[in-house]
Amino acid sequence: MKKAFEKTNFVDVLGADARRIWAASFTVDEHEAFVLAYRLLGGRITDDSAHLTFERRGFRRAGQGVVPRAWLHPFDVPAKGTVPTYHPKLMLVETPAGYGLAVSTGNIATDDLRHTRNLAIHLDVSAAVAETTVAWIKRKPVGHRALCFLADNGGVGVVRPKGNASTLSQFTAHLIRCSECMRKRLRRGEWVVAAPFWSSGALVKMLEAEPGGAVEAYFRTRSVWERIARAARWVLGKEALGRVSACELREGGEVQRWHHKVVGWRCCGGRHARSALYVGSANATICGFFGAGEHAVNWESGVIWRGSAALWDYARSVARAGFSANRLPMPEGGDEAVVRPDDEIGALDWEEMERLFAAHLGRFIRVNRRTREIGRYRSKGERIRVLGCSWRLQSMRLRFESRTEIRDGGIVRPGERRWVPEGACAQLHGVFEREDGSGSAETDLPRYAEATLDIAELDPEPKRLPGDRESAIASALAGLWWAEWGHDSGGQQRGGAGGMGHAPDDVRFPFADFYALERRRPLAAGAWIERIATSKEPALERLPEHWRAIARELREAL
Amino acid sequence: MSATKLDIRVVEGLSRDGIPVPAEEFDPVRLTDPEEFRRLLGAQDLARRLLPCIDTRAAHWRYYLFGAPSERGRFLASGPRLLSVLRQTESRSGIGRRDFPNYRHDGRRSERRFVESLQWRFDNAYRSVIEVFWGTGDELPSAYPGPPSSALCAAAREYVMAEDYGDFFSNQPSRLRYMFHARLVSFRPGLAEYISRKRHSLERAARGAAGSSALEAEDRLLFFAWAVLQAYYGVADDGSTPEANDGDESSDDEGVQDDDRYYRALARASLDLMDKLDDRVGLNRKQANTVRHRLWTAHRQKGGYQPPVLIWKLKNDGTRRRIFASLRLYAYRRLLYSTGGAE
Repeated sequence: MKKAFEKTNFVDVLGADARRIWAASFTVDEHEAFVLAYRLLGGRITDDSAHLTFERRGFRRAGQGVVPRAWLHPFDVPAKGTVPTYHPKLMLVETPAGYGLAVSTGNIATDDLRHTRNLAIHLDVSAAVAETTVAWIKRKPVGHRALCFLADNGGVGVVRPKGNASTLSQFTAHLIRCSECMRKRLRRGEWVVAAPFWSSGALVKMLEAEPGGAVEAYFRTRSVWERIARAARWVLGKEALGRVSACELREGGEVQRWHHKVVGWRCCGGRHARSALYVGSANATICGFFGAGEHAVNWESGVIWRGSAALWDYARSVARAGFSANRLPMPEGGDEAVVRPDDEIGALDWEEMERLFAAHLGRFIRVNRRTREIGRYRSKGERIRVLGCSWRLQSMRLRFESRTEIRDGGIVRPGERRWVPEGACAQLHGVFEREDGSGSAETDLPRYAEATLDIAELDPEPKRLPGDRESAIASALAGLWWAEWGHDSGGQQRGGAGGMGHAPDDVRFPFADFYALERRRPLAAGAWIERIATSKEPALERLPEHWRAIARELREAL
Repeated sequence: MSATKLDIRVVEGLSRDGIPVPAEEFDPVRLTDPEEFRRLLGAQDLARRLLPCIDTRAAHWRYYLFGAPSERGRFLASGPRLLSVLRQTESRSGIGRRDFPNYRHDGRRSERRFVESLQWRFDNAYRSVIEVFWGTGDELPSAYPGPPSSALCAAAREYVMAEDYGDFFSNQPSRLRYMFHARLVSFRPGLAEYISRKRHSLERAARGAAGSSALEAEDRLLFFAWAVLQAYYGVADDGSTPEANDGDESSDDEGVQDDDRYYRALARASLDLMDKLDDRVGLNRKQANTVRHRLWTAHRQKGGYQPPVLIWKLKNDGTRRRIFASLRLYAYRRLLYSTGGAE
């Protein structure tokens, strides 16, 4: 079952000839976003070349800033009842050949892309699907939080649910059982689920949906499984939990860090079984994949495939993502009802506490880009409920980060609006105080919790480096240059020490690279050759003349 | 779509080489990761330089005696004597104490192999610091105070060769203990005297470090690193070692009262030391201001002490998170106390 997964990056997936980018991500590391956009756009950075939507608390500013501020569209999630998370991981690019969509399980963040295993899928989508996706990224519709693409019959479509249907509802709406299961009305389906975060309610829902079936579950840490299992056993009983096979993922005997979210299903174990697979951003939680009732809580994105029995085997290998599975024992000891069905339990991180409260801090503010004002809502009591306790926003202060210091800008009182001067990098710092006797879990929690939000969209515009001859030529090489020309076999860069900033000394036409790209992504290769042959871009006019002649010949031959 | 047409791949970050990112003008804050903070403070290097004869794993002063050289520079064999220590002390403490009962009750176990394992553990924990202590290493650090007295070398060898180890883990006053203590003090006299004057309480010592004339700036830096890391992350230095295994005996009977009062005292001490040390703490202005502000907030908050940055005290594998093992301050205090304090 262990399958070696091919590694890729977003440029391999989407090409380096994008005209525009629309991306949605929970967290964004500014440097990572800049690298990604620069590569995808072939170095053509303009104010309107990208649109990044992310949850405000998830943005990590890079010093004085790198990406144009017009790109940034932070989203303060509405907070009525459970605070949802803006959690999709989606990237759409417009290229000369059409639209490319990458649905990923990782955010545009260094931790996700460099230190944690994540999966990505490339889909060529129609203009209509692209239009719907752009609208979804820009508008963040409250009534359609879970965006699912259905890859079926060779094409890709957007599932258009009625109301704010959860990912599970959209997934199950497309499940088809085999003729035998239909005839005998059997519900013995099997699930395979891999996710870093879990709710016990999710496990309960899967077991209840298929009373005669089983669940193969992958957890990142043993402690998560133990807590989930105890809570599920308390709800369903020991026998039902016996249908769950829990595993952790290892490589070389070591527990690995992974972040992919995969849900697979098949109707039965027969030869003619029908199956389905979901890969996307939704965790195995109530707020993620499964939804509260029938409704989605978080904003999520993912792809659904339907298929035969073979898809089930593929789903299992995707869930393992190239690692080997190590079976986890059933936890011993008494049942634990402390964990509620909708509690999210996942890999622990010291930052989570601050992130959790940052979402709530975002509830109290409003940012006006035009007037450069930050306002604080006047709300009654300003109490929030987090981690089973009631908390009060004790203070909110405005701070300004400069090159060498963080200067206090004073208290922001309820109903007050504060103007942010031009050239200042504004931060909001909030202190929450836990109220006495407000919850059973309070003894485990600190009395105070702090959170900081960067108001990045009001930052001064970062400096742009002027393009030079080398970078102009290098941008013309985009599409072939990165993977193959970036480093030679000895680890030494060809084409100057600067890589992107310097063209190679050897400007022979890159036939081998071109044919490699053509095999991998024929449309992108065609678009690239078209650009070299016909485009009037000033950057391309600096290329050696023989490139254009060769490109024209190749275009005729294609 | 059939399964074979699916192309799901592992996604990775793009190369950053050659990206024309503008030069960074902002000083970074980067104070959330304990290891990064410790590196910024230069705490490990400082501790190694100031206290080269100390290691957190080297918990019992009599083990140092096994490394005493003769006048001709010859050494005593330590392996069999390590076994004698266990036999004569009924494995109350020390290297190999957890394995020793099994070894003794299992007649099939090879004595030679057990001695080899004891020797390996001893070398691992003590060898480098013993070489510095006795001045037998090839390269001696700048803080080396000169060779030990011949009386100390002779007394140490006499003790080891006598193989009467019944009192190995006791700290009864003796001439040997006195000489050992004097040698230990000579490595950092001001610091040793100061710790003794504070009744071997590092918390008290840290509180008074900013105003003490006995300490040098580097000693204050060490106290600052020790105090600020604990106060900032709310993880107490209890003197135990990061890789607690059988060779590390220091985890027994150790521990600190890591209550609110303890952390508040360290936060206060850190603030005072920052004021005293000013820009020598290894942090840029933004970082120093951030630390100062956060510690002050934590110090004055009502109710229980809450560290500015919350980290999980246990790692995913259940072991305790350690970020102070290399600061050696606790180990130095322990040796000073066991050789110079009251029985």
